[in-house]
Amino acid sequence: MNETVNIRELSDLIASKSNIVSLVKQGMDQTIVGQQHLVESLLIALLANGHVLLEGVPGLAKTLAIKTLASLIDAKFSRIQFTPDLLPADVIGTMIYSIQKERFEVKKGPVFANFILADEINRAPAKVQSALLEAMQERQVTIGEQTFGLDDPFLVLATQNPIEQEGTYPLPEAQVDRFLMKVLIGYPSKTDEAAIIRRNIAAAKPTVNALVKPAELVETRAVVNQVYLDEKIERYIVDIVFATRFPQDYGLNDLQSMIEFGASPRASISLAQAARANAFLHSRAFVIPDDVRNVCHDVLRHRLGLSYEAEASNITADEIINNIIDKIAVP
Amino acid sequence: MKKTIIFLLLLLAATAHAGPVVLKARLDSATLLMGRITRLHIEVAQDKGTVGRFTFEERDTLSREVEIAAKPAGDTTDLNNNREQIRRDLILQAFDSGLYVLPPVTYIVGSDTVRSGTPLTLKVIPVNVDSLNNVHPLKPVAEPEYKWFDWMPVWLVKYWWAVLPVVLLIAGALTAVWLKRKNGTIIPKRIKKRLPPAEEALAALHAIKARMAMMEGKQYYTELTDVLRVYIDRRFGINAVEMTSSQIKRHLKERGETRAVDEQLDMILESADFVKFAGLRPLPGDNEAAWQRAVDFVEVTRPAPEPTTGTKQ
Repeated sequence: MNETVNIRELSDLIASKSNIVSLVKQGMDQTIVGQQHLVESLLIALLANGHVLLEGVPGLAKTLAIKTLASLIDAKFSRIQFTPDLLPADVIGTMIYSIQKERFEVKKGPVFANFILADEINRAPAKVQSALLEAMQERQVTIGEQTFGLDDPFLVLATQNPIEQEGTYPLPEAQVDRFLMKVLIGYPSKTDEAAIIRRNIAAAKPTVNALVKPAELVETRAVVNQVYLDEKIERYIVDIVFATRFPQDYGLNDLQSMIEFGASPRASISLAQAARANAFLHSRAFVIPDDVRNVCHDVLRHRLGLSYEAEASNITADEIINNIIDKIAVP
Repeated sequence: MKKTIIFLLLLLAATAHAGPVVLKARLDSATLLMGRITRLHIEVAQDKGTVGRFTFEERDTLSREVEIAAKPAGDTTDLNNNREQIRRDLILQAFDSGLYVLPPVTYIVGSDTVRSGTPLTLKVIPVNVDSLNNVHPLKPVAEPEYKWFDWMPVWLVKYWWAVLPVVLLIAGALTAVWLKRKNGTIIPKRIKKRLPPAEEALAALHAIKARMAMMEGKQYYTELTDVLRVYIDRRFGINAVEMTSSQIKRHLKERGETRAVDEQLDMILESADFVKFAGLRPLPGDNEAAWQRAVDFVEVTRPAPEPTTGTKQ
């Protein structure tokens, strides 16, 4: 076969950079048992330069996963525990007066790190959430009169607890849209649980060494951005996103009353970016419909506004997405 | 003096010629069943021009027990000889049994009072009532019989002929809207009988082959895989049109019916994915090979013809 785009060359490039993925996956396996979807989602977010909102009950290795990832990439890690009395300055930093120097100095907050775990982000008031989400979007922070760019890579992993909703501040739709993916994390299997016990009661704890430099990751991202996305896949993505907005146009009349508002154009961009990263993870130089389907739920579930009727009928966003991708013809 | 005497003699003669007023009365029947009526016939014979009046005109009873139920108008008959007869009837009614003597009928002419002759008697006979056997209880209030249109308003019953076409028109419009929503059209499309899946797929594959030289690789592989997807959908009941290549392969492998040609299908789908999504341009030989694999896949997986059970004698 002849090539109109240099797929073979790109494939070779991807193969050369894929060792980073293998290294990170192996490193994660040292500390994390199971949770393959969590690990892959973190890698996709890392490669697609996005952030992840994680929903799961406590104790499912969310912190351990991101700490391990930070250690593997030789990057700085911060954990911010969101509480109702947290202030924006506690996240982004503030100006403090130095008696020795007799002037105000910038005290950078925990947001100045490569990997940030925003634990229980919905426990802090909206102004604190906004401060972090703005930093996520703009990738820069202004303290006093100075603007500071954030480090690259910059990955925020925010968590939400799905069972305790009392006294929380749910993230507004406009802000939740800024997360590339919302990943639901479940309990491990029996086999994985037994392995977790064994690993944690063992005398010797696994040590994680830095295997990847942040600069290598940035280079890898550049390769990810070269992954070929055909116009057929673009149309497929557009069809999926449009079906969330106008389900009746795709023969999904039943969904019309279930969806209050559909996914935004940012969802289309995110779907394309995440599909590219997914193709890269599978060492492929081009995106196929499987890549789109693999990331579709994680990218769209937090971007769909469900109607009261859907909530009353216990219809979830995932069920709506399933209906949509089962109805849209695959190119 | 002579003239005066003659005038007085003539006046005397004229006065001596004036006739008497004669009043007669008779009953239709002397007996009367209680509550029934009878007639009292009255006849007055008098000179023409005589003016008189009956005394019963001002009363509604003849006696305390006998009532005048009605006073029909009278009739006057010329008796010639300057005489006339007046006839009046009275309708009498009595509700108390007994024998009653009716007072004479009185007719007043000027200062004279004329009475009917012999007093009349009227016997009122009581009605036998068997109160023990013939007393019936009061009947309950009868319910009116309802008709099917009683619930409808009066205007609807009155103007149904105008309302009916409007109702039919609305019903027709609603049906049209319903059909439009359900089928996308008011007039249902005629459904063409489809060929069996294998025949349909082979016909489509041959049509693609005829146009192979004119098509670009991406279009060629898209049409080729579309035909296979529809065939797999119809043949195996797998919703292949909405599935990715890997999903189709997984579903077919689970079924095991296509084991013999799994590899061929994998090659077709893999090549198609490369052409469609990686922008690769296939060589003419690749197209021919993919087409042949598609035909082989359909031929191998088409259902075996049903065996005939017997022959006609």
